[in-house]
Amino acid sequence: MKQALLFLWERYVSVLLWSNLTLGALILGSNYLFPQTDLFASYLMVYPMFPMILLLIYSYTLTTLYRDLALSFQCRRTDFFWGSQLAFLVTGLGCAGIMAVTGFACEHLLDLPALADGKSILENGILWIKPEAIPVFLVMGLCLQPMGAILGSLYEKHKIITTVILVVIMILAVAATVASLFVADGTLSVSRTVILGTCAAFGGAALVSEMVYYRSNQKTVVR
Amino acid sequence: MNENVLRAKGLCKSYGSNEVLKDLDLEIEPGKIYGLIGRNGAGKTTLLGILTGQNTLDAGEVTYGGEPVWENQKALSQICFSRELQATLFTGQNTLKVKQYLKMGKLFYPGWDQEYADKLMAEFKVDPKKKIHQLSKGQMSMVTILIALASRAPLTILDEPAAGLDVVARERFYQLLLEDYMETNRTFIVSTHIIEEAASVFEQVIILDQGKIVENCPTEELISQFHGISGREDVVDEATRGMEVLATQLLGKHKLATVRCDGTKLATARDADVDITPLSLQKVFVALCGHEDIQQ
Repeated sequence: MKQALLFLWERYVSVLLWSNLTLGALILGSNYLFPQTDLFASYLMVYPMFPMILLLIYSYTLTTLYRDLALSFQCRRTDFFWGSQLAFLVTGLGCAGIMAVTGFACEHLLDLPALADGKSILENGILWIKPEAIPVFLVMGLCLQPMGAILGSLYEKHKIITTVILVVIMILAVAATVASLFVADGTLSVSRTVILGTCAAFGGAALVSEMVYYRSNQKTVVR
Repeated sequence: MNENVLRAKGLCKSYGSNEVLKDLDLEIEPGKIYGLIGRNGAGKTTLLGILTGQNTLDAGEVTYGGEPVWENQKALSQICFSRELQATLFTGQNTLKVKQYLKMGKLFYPGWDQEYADKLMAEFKVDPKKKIHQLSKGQMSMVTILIALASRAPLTILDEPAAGLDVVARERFYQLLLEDYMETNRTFIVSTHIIEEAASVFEQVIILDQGKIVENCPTEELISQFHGISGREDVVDEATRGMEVLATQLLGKHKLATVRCDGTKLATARDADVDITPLSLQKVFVALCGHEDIQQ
């Protein structure tokens, strides 16, 4: 188990956290360097999508690349599965943490960057930099990772279908980001029940994904 | 004595309708160098994958030291299966560096010998900072060999280790293998298509054909059973009566028969007007697995 954890830390978690930290730093840094640039303001607007897509892509590579590698070095499948659960938790919490820090920094520490319409971020009411949005992204992140892992397993046999599903997920992520903008500025109202329902749906999807992921892990063949 | 014996019983494996392994039994005793030979698609890599828990099986059981290999940390940590490295993976080019592979070896193999790994790195002149896809086929083979040897695993398996090596490097590999074997007396299973060169290294040879083990015995003992008997067709037919004739070739009235027989029958054949020649391992393999391809 220890070996699986060390392997996953080095090959998966650290790379994913570093890429997220770099992304966070770029966005925050851009605020100082280019306070009036729409490009970076837009970047911040779509920011939640990036960690989520990164989580999906990385958990996808976990099964397309890293699992094969670990098993070829005689890692136990069960160790890899439980090790990846811890990795999902660390990266999910890490991403949510980075988003929380970004939100906190935007609200309290930085000069808020102007958006395309000339209003500040807070005036636009960007939803995801508000603390209440963080748990939603945490649940989403925890759900997307086993889904990514399953897609990685699926890719071995069905390349085209998997690619189509990945593209659809990414389109949905963009749509969710756009929808959250409307929610934030009051154009679209979402009740607490809907948010809870969304979280529950993601949670259920995560559970099913975990079961499928465990099964695919036991049946996988090193190539 | 179950200690360090790898035992496979009743192994069955199919890929769709293709039955790759058919109720296969195998025993690997400790302290020997085994050669695993078979034609393309015979099921060598599948068998090695199953023996090491890297592939699943449909039926049967694999044990090491009396314990199941599947998902058993104790057994798995004693086994190294060094596979052929690939320049391309599912996600594109294999951008992992050589040093990262070695680091994984150090992480997963409890007996990993870093000093020996460094020594081999220097000898093979492989740059540890190079990415796998930047290596030549020969260099990839060297990394595979390096990991296998430095793992110091009691059971070390190499799948086509000499495939990309030139003749000098292959000679050096066999030398290193023997040196390591003399020093550690661990068990090696080497799968190869370059039979003739490796024959002298194999203490025991396993021949896999159409999903079944057709031979698993000491190399010398196997070779001594096979002969080529040539001469006039009618004389050869008479001399080989009662022997197991595996293949025949006719050149006009001249006939060459590849036979398997014991010493007594061979002594009788010697009285006839025929030439009797011993066969090399490669010829033995062709006689056993060539089937209709070489029959005339």
